[in-house]
Amino acid sequence: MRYVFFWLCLGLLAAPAFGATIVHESVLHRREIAIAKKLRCTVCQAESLAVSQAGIAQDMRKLIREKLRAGQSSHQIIAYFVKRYGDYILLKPPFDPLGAILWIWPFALFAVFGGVALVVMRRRARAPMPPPSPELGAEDRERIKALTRQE
Amino acid sequence: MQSSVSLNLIELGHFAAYMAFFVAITQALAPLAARYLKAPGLRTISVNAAPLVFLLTTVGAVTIVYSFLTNNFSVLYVANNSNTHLPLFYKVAALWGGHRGSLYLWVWIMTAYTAAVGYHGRSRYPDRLAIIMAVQGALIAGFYGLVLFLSDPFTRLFPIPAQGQNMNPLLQDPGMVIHPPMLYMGYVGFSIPFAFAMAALLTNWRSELWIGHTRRWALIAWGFLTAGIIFGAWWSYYVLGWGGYWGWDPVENASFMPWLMGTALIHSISVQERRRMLHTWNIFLIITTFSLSLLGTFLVRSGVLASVHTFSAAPGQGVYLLTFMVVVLTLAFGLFLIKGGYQRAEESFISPLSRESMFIWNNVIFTIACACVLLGTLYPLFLQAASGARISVGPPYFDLVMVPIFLVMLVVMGIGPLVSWRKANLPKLRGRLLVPSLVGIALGAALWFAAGPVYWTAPVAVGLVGFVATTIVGNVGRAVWQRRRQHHEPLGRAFAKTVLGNRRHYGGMIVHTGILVMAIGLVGSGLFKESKLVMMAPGDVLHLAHERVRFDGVRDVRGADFTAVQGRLTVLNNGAQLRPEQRVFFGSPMEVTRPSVNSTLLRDVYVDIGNHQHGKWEIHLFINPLVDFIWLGGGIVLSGVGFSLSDRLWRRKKSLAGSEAVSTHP
Repeated sequence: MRYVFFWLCLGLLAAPAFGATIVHESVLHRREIAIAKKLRCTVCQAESLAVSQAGIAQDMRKLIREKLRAGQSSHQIIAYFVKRYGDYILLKPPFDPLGAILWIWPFALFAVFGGVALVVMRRRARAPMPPPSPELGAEDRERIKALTRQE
Repeated sequence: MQSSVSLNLIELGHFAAYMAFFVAITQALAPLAARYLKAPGLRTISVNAAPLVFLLTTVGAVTIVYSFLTNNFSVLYVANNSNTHLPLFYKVAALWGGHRGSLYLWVWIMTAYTAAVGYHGRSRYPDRLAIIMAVQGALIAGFYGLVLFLSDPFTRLFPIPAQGQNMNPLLQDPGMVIHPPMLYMGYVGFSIPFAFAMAALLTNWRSELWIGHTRRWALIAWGFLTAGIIFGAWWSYYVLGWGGYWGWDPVENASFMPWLMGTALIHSISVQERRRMLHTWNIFLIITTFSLSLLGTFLVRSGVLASVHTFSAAPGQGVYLLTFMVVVLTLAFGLFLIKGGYQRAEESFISPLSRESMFIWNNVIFTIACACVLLGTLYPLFLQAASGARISVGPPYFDLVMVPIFLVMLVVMGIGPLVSWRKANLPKLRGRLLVPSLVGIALGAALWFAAGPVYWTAPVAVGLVGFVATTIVGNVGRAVWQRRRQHHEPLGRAFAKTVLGNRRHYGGMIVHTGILVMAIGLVGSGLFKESKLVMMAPGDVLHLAHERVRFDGVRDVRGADFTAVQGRLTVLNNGAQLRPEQRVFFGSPMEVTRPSVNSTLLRDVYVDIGNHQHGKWEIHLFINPLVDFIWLGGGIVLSGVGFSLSDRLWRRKKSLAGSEAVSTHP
């Protein structure tokens, strides 16, 4: 029993090594695209490395591929690019003092707009508006009575 | 000899444009003059000026097109955007193929709308027409100032070059020919509700009297804007060769923001018509929607954002546009703040769960969506201007933020039409929601099991599409069933009578159906796309997602104004031929890839060809599932808009027929 456990642990420890050797090119390509989608082409306007046809974008993708082949993780590769180019290269801004507002904004909007809409609708529903026309006076009643009698 | 004639013509066009500018100023000022000179008769000048401005602007446009057709390179704009090899089709479209001309097109469309409103309003709202025309006139004059003084398409060039340059090669595509006019008709169309709202605020015009007209103009503008956005996506897909159609590019966002607010507006207006409330909110929406149209024009045309859309703009134009925008918005929102409450709501909510409250939720969600796109688009610009820090906000951000919002929209879209006006009957509502919910859950679960572990949005979105589709079927089905029982009609007749009898409602349902079809396409192509970039030698076969594509080699081909290397590929599963090209256009150093697509309803095989090395060519293959659903859904949306708009015409015809019947049988 103890040996089984031992071999199991050893197997698990070795798994990454086996994994690295059997990673298929197409899996690499998929991971390359996933990374390229998160990084912007530095010479283009609002285009990711995955999309851009610029020469530098092609080179950067080649670099991603090489790093993937060398066994680096997506995190490591992205960190490498951020170190070289700054946060500017990330198409998804990080949650830091500069980018925080972008992430708080949607939630704040939902809270504020949703809250206001809810409160206003509740309040108005509870306190119906005064009827638009003034109430009928005695004179009007007489006239209506007279008219209905004529019918 | 011929060229000297065309020289004269372009000057005539230039003169006509200046005349139009001055007439537009007169159009804007006439009601003011009428007021201060105490001569009410002067107001008719505004109304009569509108068709004249349109006519003069048309003369200008025709002379520009004529200059393109006759290769009059003494006109700077023609020399920069055309040459003798440019196909005839693109020579006509070259009017909006560059920066200067596209601004002129903006003004031209605006004058056309103004003339149309002038004609439409003569019998319907003659008392306020002069003010509406004056507001339009002021906007036209403002844009004419930009066109004539800062980006004049009539500017001459000496010495006259023997040959012109070329239209931006990327724009030489039928999609690009249709996209700008459609988009501008959308942008500019929202100026009409804006002018109505301004006139209403200025003259305390009772809302019931104008909101119906405004709804129709807003719906027309919305339809064009939708078409413009879809054609833009189409062009991006079939021309740019990146395998996608929407990239959350700031320029795309610029057109998407007015679309979102416009969508809120056309929903919110119907609440006012039906329940006589939200008067002030609707005016706010109208002003905001038009503001975003102006903002879009500013972002695209000022050169603040560089992209394929911005061509090259002179720096002064950005300042002019920004100033113009600030002035218009200050006046509009100022007027709104002073007089916005001129007409109070006449009715109120009875229950927080009612059709009107669902419309409010629609408005809340669309406003939030718009505000998110707005911040994501502008924040990097502001940050860079304010602190110099550069950050990027791109597709991963927008996908993450917007997709959940879209999903919430689908939920409201399904429930909204089931809730009755005033106060919902909760047990009834529950009953109506039961079957759609089950269908939605079943579909979502089925996808989850069939497609294996996928991103969570796929099964949720598909489930919601199923949910909404079932509610629409139920909605129509119940109405038809009821009519059939009441009138004892056969099913087909009952269906036709029901749907044709309430075109506004069922037009809306058709639009919703189109959105659902688009949603399927977006999920399919967005989440199940596969791509591969490989070097291929002739004879190689590439496998990707059950498709096999063989590379047969390349060939040199010539087009009217380009030479190209054409890749020849065969889709082995159905024998389709693919012909992606790498084009070099006349007078332009850059190579342009033109993808080739084999579309079936279920999937597109999309191929680009790139550089070659050692006898191998770079082939970029994409398998994009369900892309056709997007174009199909777009078509359904537009037909729904058309169906909804046919309502009034149909009613008028019917009432005419009715009155004739009465008069012939006394």
